[in-house]
Amino acid sequence: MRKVCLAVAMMASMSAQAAENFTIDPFHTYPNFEINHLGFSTMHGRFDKTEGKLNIDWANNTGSVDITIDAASVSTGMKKRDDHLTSPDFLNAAEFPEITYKSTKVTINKDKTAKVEGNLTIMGVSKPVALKVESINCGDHPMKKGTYVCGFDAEGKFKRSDFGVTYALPAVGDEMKLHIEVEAVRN
Amino acid sequence: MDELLNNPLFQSALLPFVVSLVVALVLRPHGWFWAGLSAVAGFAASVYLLTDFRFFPLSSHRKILLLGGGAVVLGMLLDLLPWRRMTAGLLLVAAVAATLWIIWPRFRAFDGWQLWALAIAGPAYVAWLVVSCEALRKKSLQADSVVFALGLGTGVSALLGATALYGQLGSAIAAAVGARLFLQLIGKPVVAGSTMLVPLVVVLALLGLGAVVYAKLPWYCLVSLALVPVMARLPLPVNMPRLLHIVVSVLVVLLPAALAVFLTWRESGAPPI
Repeated sequence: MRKVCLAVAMMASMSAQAAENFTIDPFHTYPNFEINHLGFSTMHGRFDKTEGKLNIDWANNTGSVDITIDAASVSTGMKKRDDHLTSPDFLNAAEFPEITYKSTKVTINKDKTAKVEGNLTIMGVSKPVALKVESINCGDHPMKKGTYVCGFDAEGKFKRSDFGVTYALPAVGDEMKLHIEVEAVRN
Repeated sequence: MDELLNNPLFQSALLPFVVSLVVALVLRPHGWFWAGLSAVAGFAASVYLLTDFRFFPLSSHRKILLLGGGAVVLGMLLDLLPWRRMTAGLLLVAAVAATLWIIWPRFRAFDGWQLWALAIAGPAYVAWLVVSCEALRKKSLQADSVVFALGLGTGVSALLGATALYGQLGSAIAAAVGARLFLQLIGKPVVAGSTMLVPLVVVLALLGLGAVVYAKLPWYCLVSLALVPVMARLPLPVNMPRLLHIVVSVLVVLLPAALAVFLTWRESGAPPI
């Protein structure tokens, strides 16, 4: 009986070690988006302020993602357009200051690619959005001794109309492509 | 067809004007009370195209439109029931409550004098416009002129300095009331009544305040817009020819609205497209 308990305790300990918790590095994590502009070109923009947490469970090839984006930090290189994007026409940042993404299922593949299923919440409306992660790269930070970092690029797409962001449809595109560059420091 | 329905000029100018005109002509023989609904119908047609009457997520502009719907009922009650003695007090309380519902989410973002300024000046602006404009319910020319000027001033200012959606909603009201002014010009005026004034002024006042609170409309534009009902009360020469009287009445109330637009343009410039 004692051996069984010991084995269970060891397995639990190994599992705890395999699941690692990370805090998003806001200076190296930027959600970028692209959207069709009047059928002429593709506009790019990004959000400058992001925070959140990651959990990577290597043993079970899974994990979790919880990201909060400051809606008012949208940046397209033109202040006036950014003001318009944060206005009630688009993100309504004064009323809905946060955009969130919370994973519901993460599957990490052997080649370190991953598929993340989760709920994106914009203006209080939550819809499922899947993200494809290209490659999870982890290691010691070369310039910060003792800091262990994981990073990856994720991409997905969604329709803004699903979240009630319907201004200027269909002239300004409905489908938005999302690219998120993420770096996170192990706790 | 889709191209036409998605055209902002059709949504916020042509459609509300035509609907308001047709409804006014249809309802005019049935008495002034019902004809007051004409501009409301014109605005509602525009709201349908702009929002599909979807009220979720319950953001500020949807709250404003819901309050506008409720204000139609309140306006009709005020026209139907002999409540005149209590009208100003009732409208004051309703306007303050409606305003607090709209601006409440922003209270978290402010503190100190800014919080007090928002909590006092916001409801005061809405209550002032609603009470002072409703008092013009039996003076069709002044009533139409005031709502037209407020619609144009709020709509164009919001378009330049804040949000295109607020701008379109404000402009749609101006267009709907413009149809009634057209009837004034051809000698077929229709009395506005509280049925028209309460909902449309509530919506315009809240759109103006919302554009300041939730977007970037300069607050001092509202000071200029608040002068619109004052200008409508300026006495004009009695012996003025009818057409000239109508034109001058409209131009006088348009002055503070034009000032609001100018102030916004000076602060914000042209909108990004």
